[in-house]
Amino acid sequence: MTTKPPPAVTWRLPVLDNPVGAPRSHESVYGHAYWRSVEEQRGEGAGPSGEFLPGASLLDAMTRREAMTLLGASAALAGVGCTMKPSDTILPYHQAPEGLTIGNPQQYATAMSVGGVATPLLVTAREGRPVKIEGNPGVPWSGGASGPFEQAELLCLYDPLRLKRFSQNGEPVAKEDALAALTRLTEMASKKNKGAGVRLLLEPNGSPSREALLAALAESLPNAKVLMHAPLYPHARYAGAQLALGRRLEPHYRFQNARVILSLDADFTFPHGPGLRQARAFAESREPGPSMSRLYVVEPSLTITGSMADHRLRMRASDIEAFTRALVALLSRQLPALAQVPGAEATPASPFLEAVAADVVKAGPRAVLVVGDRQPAAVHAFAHAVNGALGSIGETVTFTAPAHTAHVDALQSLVADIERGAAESVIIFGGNPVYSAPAHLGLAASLKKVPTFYGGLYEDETARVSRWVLPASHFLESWGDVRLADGSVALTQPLVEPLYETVSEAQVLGALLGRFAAPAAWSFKESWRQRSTVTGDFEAHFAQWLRAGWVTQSAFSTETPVVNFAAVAEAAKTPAVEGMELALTVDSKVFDGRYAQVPWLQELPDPLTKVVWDNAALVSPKTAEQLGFPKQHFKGTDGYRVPLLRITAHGQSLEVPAFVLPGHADNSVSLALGYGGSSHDKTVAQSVGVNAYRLRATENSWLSPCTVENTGRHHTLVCTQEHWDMHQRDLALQAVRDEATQTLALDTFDHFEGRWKKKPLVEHLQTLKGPQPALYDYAPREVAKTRVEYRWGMAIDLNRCTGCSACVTACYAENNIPTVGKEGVKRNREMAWLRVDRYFIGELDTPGVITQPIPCMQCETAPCEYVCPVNATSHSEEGLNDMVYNRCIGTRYCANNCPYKVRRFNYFHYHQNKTPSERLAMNPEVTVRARGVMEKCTYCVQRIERARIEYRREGQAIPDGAVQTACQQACPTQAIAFGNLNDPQARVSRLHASERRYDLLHDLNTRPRTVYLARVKNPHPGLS
Amino acid sequence: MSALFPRWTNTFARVAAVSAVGVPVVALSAVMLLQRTPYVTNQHVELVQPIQFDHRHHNWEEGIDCRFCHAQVETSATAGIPATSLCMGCHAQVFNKSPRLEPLRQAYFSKTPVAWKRVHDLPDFVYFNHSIHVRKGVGCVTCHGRVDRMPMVYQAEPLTMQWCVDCHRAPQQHLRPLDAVTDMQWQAPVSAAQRAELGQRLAQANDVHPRTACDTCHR
Repeated sequence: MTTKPPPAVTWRLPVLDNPVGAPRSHESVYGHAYWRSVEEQRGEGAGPSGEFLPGASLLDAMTRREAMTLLGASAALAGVGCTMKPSDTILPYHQAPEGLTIGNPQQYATAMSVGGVATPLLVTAREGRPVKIEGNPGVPWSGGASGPFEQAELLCLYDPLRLKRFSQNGEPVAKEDALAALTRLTEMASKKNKGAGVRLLLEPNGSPSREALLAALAESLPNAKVLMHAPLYPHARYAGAQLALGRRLEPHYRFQNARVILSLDADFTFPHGPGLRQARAFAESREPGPSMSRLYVVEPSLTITGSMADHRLRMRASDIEAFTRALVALLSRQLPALAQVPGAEATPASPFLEAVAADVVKAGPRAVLVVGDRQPAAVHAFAHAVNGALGSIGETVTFTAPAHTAHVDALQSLVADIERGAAESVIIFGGNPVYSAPAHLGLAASLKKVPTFYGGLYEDETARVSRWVLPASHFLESWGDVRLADGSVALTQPLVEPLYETVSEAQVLGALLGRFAAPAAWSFKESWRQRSTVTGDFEAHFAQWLRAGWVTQSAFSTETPVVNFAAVAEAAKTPAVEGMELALTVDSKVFDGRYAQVPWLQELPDPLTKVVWDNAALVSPKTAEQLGFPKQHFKGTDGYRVPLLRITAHGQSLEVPAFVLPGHADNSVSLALGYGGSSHDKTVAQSVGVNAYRLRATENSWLSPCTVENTGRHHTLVCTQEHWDMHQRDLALQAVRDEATQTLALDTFDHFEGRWKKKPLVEHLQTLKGPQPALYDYAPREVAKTRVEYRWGMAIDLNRCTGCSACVTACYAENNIPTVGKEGVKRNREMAWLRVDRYFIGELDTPGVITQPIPCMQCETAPCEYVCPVNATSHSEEGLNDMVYNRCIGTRYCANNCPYKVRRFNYFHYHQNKTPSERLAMNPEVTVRARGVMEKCTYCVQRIERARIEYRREGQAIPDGAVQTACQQACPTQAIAFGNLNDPQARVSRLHASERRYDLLHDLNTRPRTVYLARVKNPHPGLS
Repeated sequence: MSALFPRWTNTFARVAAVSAVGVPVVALSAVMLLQRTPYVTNQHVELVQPIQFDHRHHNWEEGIDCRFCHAQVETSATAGIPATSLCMGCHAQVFNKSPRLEPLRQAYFSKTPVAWKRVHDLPDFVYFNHSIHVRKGVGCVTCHGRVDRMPMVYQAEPLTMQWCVDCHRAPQQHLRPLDAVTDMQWQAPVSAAQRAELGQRLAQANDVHPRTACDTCHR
């Protein structure tokens, strides 16, 4: 008998219930035992869920009788309110604006800066109203990426609760009177004591035109003090540079050159400002190949950077200094330059430490240490010393002067000055310092004692204690400039006239100078003209800068500092935190608190915890047990019932809901700043989260000892980690690179032998892609019917995806996706077309993490299409699974039949109650969906059709790159590729042909057009 | 044994059987037919505009091209209603005392727009693009009718989805040379064979291959 070779394509039975027979325990971190929550890992999860979580479609507290009454009434009244199509009017322009074609979008370059972090932007306007914000690809600095904050600025502009009137002591005043009061203030203060009593509190942004205004102000008020303050300012970063390099310098990491990266509590891929560029550079270094980088992360709480780590060590943030000293001690034996820095006391060597040290030395100048801004200056200094000793400076890290400076103790000195009578009047613009000041500082009480002017977007805490309140213009309404991290100047040009009567910061400073009569645009340009050093036609240069969005060649020159090892050796030791540590974190949704009222961000699941509409005290499973809550209860649509902890630090205490995060350091509590502002009483953020700023010791402290006790009371957290279950199949794949052989392998569970086995990646993926055998051959007939020029497809590279969720926010902004609120998400009614699934792999305390964005797969044989009774979802010849909203009758069969769980149902008419200003943010190219309609990702079909029409008008084919989906455009790491699969040169086609490519749920034969590329881990041979 | 039911029940049963099927069918057909009548589609309904703008005069008598006022028809989804300043470009000189143009002057000097009533109103979930149709040789007349003979503009065609799709499936019958797109007087060859031959030729020359997938119009 001859043995037959195995068939190329094997039938695999779909696994409908619990896992691939996979046991809960496993031998390898890179194995397949995936879990989404602590409860699931312990086998206490919500259990199998169907289309939505059970109860998603139930009404609140309604009896059968009430329901029947309503049903009867609605049947009886059906048709009563029907009218003929309403008549519509067309209102033409009085004078058509130059360069505007109604119906065609316009793009303008601009820039934003929040709390000292600046991003260049490209904003799309429709008929004069901004509708979409993107990164500016023309600025080499950002590559066109944008994060959730950049996207969310749109809703800040149109927020109906923005401040709209000028007031004095709560009484409305005219704008002219308010500005005249500022002018008067300068005149009087100048006469009295040359402005010695005047304090300006501003946000750092490095703006050259503001510097010019402040310089002019210093002439009339030479004794006035300008304080720069941002609550999340990275003071330690500059102090560390000062210590090690002799001056304040800004490090710029060139991860694309790095082979070994050690992050000490640094979330360097945080999707905002420089993080966008760092994430892209890092992603480039992760291309599997001989030069693939290895990432070590030491951090207390999981961050998106930590989730990308090849080796992650969970460690309390305050212990990281000791770790660094120990590392330096190890390295100083091998690096002669470091010999002067004996630095550290010997600690018991850990394999992790030894592996890192060996790897760093091996990589030499291609290794780089990155330190987080929470760490004390000493840790930064040590990192500079190591980088210097390795020769990394100039190779993997370069330096320029920082774009701006801020005062370490701005608020403290302000309060002190007010209390001793030195400060007589205070002018604050932006930032809401009363909210973000530590509680014990007493800033609010002090500000009430002096005449305070406050310019802000909202009626917030600072506005409430200020005598004069000036509504601020949004950056999309005003002229200005900001400095990017490398010192380049980006210009802020307005996209729209101020929606309300507001003032910009420049106008406030102008008023202080008595110059507020000049139009903002004119004075901004004049300011540039006066300072201009360009040769030739200034007008032409200025127009070119505005068009490009930045002043070309304005970056600071790169500096090559020399490390002062002797100074580093003497770096002061920060006392260790005994007992429980409180580590404050920068939130990826609300930042310093300014985005708390943006529903897109509040509803965006946190990249790691997946909690929405709340902040929570994150603790490790072991610490949770010590605090007396071994379990948190998850019951489907009732959300998470979690205990309230009382955290006390520096004499202040807060009651915070607890949440168990696997992989968190023991004896440490992580709490995100930015929530719990009382300014949002009337807004979406009402009673969302707690204000962790209250627990700060000083205005820029991050780590402190605290006491934590369990109050015994409970809070309901809403978390999407167990929503949209795909039943534990081959979902987010991760392979391991063998350094010696350069091969990729992954662990698969062998059903016959009942154990995990290593299998070459390519061999495993062979069974996870391409068409499955079918009972009848239908595809060729379908294709032959029409000429198909484009076959749209997408590829998502899991090796690049950090899970930052910029794509999700971009999708909300592009596709008019409604938010449903905390209660809605609790009931699994969230509308995100694109979700980012996050899986933990391995042990509870040392989990691997993998994130996987899941949009509609646009299956070629889409299961949703077969079950729709009214043909509301059907296939286009180009491969799109179209959704026709006006046909949909809301049976939800399609969502039931979708194995990827990407269809979303409008339980209510979510857009109905939008205010006129909120309606301005809607994208006119996408239908606004009504109640009872199913919706899902469309591959941004409106962008495809716009490109098709534009190119077909010229008789050309759509080139690769002309259509970018919103998620792809935003992605900081370019993890998403989209394009025409008929074009073999297109990036998407190359990724579809990659050996790492696989199809999600391939055994169902859905033939998805969206495919994934397996992630690759690059572990140290000695540690894996 | 006497009959269980009286004889008339036979008739009743027959009527009932027919009605059981017939009434819903007729009712449903009535609703569907109603949707296609001008009563619902607003076809042939002349709307009274704030200014009685007469296309007969402007286009037929004066020979002003459609694109003089609807200037962005070749570049944008919407053909555009001219800005008040464009109207005044001529009417500051001609008919500048006409009482019929008083609303125009009022709008111009008070800088408030003239509130024209929309004649061709597609549902909000339909995305029609003028520029591509014009570029591929679909004439203004094809969808808008002989506007040059309309004292008050009305909707000449039903603008139902059926009507759109009919043309998307077989556009050849509706194509004209690109230089005749805005020509109100252009006549297609009378003979069917010649018309078909011209349609084929134009479709090839202008690369006309309209799509009928849902996403062509619904997004």
